[in-house]
Amino acid sequence: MNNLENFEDMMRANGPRIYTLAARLTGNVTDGQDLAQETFVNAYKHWEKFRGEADVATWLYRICVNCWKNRVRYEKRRAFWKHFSLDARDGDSDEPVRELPSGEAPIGQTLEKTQELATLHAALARMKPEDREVLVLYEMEDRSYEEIAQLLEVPIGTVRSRLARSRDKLRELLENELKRTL
Amino acid sequence: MTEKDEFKLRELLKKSPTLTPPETFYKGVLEKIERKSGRMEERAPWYWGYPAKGLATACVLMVIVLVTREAKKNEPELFQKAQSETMQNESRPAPASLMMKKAELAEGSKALSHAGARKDKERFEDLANNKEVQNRVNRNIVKYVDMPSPFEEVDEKAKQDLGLDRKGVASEGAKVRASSVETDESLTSAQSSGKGASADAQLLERRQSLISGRLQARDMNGVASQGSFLDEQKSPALHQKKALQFPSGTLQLKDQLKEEPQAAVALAGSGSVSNAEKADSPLWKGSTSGITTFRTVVVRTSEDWQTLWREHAGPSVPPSPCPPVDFNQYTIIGIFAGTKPTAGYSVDIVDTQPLSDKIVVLYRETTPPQGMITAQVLTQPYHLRLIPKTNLPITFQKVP
Repeated sequence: MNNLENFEDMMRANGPRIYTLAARLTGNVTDGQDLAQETFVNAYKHWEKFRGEADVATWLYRICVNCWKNRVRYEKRRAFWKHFSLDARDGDSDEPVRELPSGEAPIGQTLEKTQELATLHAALARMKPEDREVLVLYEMEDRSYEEIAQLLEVPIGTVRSRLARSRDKLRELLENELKRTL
Repeated sequence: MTEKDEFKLRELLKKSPTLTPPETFYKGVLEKIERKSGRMEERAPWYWGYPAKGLATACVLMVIVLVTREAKKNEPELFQKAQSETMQNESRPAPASLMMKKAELAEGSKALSHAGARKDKERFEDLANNKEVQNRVNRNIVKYVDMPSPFEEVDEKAKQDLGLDRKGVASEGAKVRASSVETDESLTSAQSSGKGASADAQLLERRQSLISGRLQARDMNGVASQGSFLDEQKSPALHQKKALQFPSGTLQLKDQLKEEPQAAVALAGSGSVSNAEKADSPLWKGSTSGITTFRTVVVRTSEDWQTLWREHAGPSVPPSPCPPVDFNQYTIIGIFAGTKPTAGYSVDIVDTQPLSDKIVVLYRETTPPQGMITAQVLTQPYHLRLIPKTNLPITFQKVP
């Protein structure tokens, strides 16, 4: 189990960074935790093949963003094909009522320390995943345009335009949030 | 929102704290990893992936095939068993009620068939006794028996026509062949018996008379062809002359000469006058030559012939040998049409007309009709021909 021990050490070293990124990308801690766990599980699959040519943090970062992209893609596909009632139950099944994650910031989250931050995270959570990811990577994770373009596999021009659009959107949402809180 | 606000917002975004995952997070990841690897270990002996599944399916199919084959091999036994069972069932006495019903049914059907047969018989007898019907039947039979088959009629007619025609053609051909043989024999005997200048003179006379006779016949044919069909039918002499112009033997020789010009030269060189006449036919004709400009040639010596042949056979690899020609007996005349842009062009020596002071060679140039699809190759049509040796000047005249 030497391999797993090594991996655990690496995971503990890079855990906070990936955890934060996942939480920022998803917009809430619960989904972020899932995404971060998925990232580490996928990383372990390929841990033996990792040759150490790149920085482990960068490697994990890439895996996390890819997992996030897959998740968004999957959610989109599911939303397109499955138009079902959320309250619908299949006969006598014991399944709980299906629920979509709330756009609002979850109760009891530890992310926001101040009122401002809480409002900001609430606005971020309301944004579309495509808009949020650019904003998170550029403003919060301090990634350059080139890095974002590489991670998201889009041209730099697209990153720039998306970023501008995301800022406008965030502004709008923040204004709405402020009105609501007031 | 002002620039100040935007800056503040950016600062706020950058200030957002780094989260520390709880210990449960790490435990959860490790559990998931262990569960996955444990699942892999558990199923390892049984999970072989798709190739193993495919192999297993193939094995099952093979077993099914083998079992089916075995079953088929044992089928006769099964069949025998089934047959014996049915035989036993049949040999068993049937229940009394069933037998009764069967007997009743048999009787009923017999009675019905008897009644039907009686009715048919009566009707037939009535018809047989009726004289009108009898007469009508007889008349029809006679009509159909006496009437000949339309196919037979046609066959007979065709047979008669063909038989007559064949006979006519055969008899005409035989006559022509006999006359040509006679001429050949007389000429050969004259050549063999005659010695010196007198024999040669005799031969020349005979040859000239033959040529002139042939030319006359040709003229007559020309007239006949211009005339009406009825005139042709009325003049059997003209028919005979036509046949003389193209006797079957000469035609055969012509074909042979076309295929093997050198053999023709050898034949021509044998000295027979009749062969010389026959050699007055297309010898060298084709569409590829080394002479690329229009030229008419008269060759009277072997040196000239060799020079011409070298020039003519220039492009052929390996160079074809110059065919031997006896210039004591023959003169070669020829036309080279020059280079033509496509296939389909040809040049033909149509005729030679010996006049008192010269010989006129009539030739015809043929071009492909407009719109005809031709091979896009350069061609050099030519036609060379042997004529009896002559020292008279030879002129060439183009005919349309």
